[in-house]
Amino acid sequence: MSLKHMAPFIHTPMNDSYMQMVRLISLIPVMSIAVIFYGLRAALLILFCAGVFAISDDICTRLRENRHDSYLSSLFYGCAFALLLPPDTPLYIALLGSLFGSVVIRQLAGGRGSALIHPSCAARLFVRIVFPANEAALAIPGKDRFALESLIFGSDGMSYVNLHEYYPAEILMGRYPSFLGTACALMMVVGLVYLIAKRVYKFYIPVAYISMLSVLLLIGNVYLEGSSIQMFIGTTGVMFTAAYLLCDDETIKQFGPIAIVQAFICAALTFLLSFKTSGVDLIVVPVIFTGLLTGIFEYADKVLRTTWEERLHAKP
Amino acid sequence: MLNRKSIMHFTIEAALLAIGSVLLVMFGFFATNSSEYARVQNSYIQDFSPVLDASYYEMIDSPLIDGYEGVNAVYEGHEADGSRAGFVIEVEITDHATGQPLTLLVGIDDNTAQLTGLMRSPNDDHSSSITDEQIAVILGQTYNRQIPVAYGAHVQDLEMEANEQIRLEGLNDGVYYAQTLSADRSGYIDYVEMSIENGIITMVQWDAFNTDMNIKNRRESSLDGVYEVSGLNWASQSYILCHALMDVQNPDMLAMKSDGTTDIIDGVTVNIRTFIELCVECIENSRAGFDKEMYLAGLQEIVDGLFEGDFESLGVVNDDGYIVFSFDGYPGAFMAPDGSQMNVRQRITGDMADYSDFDSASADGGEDLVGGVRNNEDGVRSSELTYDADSIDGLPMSEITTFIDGIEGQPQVSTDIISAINNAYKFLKDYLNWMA
Repeated sequence: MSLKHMAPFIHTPMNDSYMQMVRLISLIPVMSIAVIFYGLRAALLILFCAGVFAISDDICTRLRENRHDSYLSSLFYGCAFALLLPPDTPLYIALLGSLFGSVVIRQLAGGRGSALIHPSCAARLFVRIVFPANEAALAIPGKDRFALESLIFGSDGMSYVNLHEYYPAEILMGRYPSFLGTACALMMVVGLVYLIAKRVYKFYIPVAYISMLSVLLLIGNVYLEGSSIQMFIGTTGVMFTAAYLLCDDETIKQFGPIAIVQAFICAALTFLLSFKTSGVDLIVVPVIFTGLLTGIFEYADKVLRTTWEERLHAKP
Repeated sequence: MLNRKSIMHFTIEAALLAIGSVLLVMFGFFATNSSEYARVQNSYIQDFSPVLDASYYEMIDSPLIDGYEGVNAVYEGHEADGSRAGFVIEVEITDHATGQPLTLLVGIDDNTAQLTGLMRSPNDDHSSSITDEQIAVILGQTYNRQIPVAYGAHVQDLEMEANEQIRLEGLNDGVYYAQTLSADRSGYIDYVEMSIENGIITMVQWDAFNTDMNIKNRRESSLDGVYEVSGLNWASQSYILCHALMDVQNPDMLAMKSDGTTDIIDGVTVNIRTFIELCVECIENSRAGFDKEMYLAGLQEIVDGLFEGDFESLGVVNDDGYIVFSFDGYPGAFMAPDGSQMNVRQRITGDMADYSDFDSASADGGEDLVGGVRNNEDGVRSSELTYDADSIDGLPMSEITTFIDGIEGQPQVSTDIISAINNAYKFLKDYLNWMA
């Protein structure tokens, strides 16, 4: 068995299938709200992305290594990617994004555990760059639940949504036009609690991320044109980052001081980006950069530990 | 790999999480309904109150809107007591100077069909060169005035058209009336009311009341879906037919065929024989100076005569003041000494002169009438009737109620903005089956 095959075990001591299954189940609250708010097209979009991720991962693994892998991590990436898409995204965009995340980011890098950056985030950033008009394919929650035309033709998009018009209760329930799974902070907290309760995710990572972000927002609030911290955290989708993206054991270290440092860096990047951009960039770009830095952190950690151990051995 | 026990365990957890999530979402959804309503109303009031004053607004969700070209959205404004105050219609027109779209909000009062406001929609992308000031000029000329609207250039066209309009000779001004003397199989007694001003037929109304006074008039019954005919509902067909007559000014021009139908008026499929006969009678009454009041008084006298002065006890006058009486059982009531059938005017006045010369119509523009239905073979005319050809925004000129000067020196801009108002009117006409 190659080291690469063992890769998911690098960052956490827990059983791989168990962890992937818990992560997948933790998405149920946000998938539920996506389906209840946006109806059939949301369900089909999630199933489609998960299916494409799983099938392309499986085909690539069989071609490259002539073996079969668990589908669970692929399904998680596919679902997470779908939940980051606007509700009226057509299937061909979802297909291209899924293939990019699965084949280009994950499989060409060597398969499971070898990707340097989060496949779902990379896929979503790909869609953001290649199909910028699709970012406006938002919809009003609870309307046209049985409409399927957008899966083929997309939509004209929504005009500017002024979130300041919305009541706090609506913001809390995610009842405003947003991406499929990033609107309802309450549901993301439910998923996060499940992940932590099942000991798949260390509580200090999301806590470090949200705390650092809150502190930075508090300091920099004067630059945010009156937007409150709660409003920022509740509406920008950063809770999705805290709950579901930073828990990726393939690209983010999941325990120890390095995990906390990574969360801090991710929060700092989110804060800095908020001055320049908005939308999905705030959710995926910090995670991608943090993932890229994981190798450097691990190397630094290893060097520090070795040096420390050498000093300890040298003393007597 | 997961063993059987783990899979079972996860399945139960997933199910519980799903059920819990759905319950939480549903609870949150209903709990935030009032917040959403308040927010939407705030937004509506902010956007729509400049064009229609109302306590609250509701978006109309109708398949008619989706398929209606140029109409983006329609909202109903309501008073605090729930009664409808009017409509706000978001209309998209083309600015012909730039070819760019312009989205406007048009406010229309429910009772009077008057324009209550006109402004650029918050959803407009400002790509059009038409300015808010130009919109305000048109609003200033149309505010609180009944729609649809035409402006100066159209008025000139109308005047020219009026000069050329065919008119029947010998008509006396006034309101004239005629009704059938026998009820039809459904118990309806048809009537036509006609207004004549300056020798021109300016208003025609065709409806029918029922001998059973608990049954609504035919027009209302058709709008309620109780009275059904093929094609458009009866009320719409009646409306189209009446306006066609106002345009051509001569019942013969409607080209009734031997089976009582006509092929030349789009949307009219019902038998128009009764209508034609009642119109002819109204025109003859006009020529004879026998107006509506005289007709109804005469009819009352005839019924009174049949029952030997016991008219009051019969209870045959309906709420609208019409006499609901069928002479089916009284064949001699209108029989002339020579055995011919008389109408109410002839029966009352004894004037048997012939007033039915419909070929003596005059056309100031020089156009000659080419016979009437009585001279045509099965009502087929040599040329198509084009009563709605001279129209504005697809509306017949006879329907235009307000004429304005428009923006000085900018006829195209005036036309573009006015078309938004008229498109809103057309939509409501179709949506509500508005009768003029």
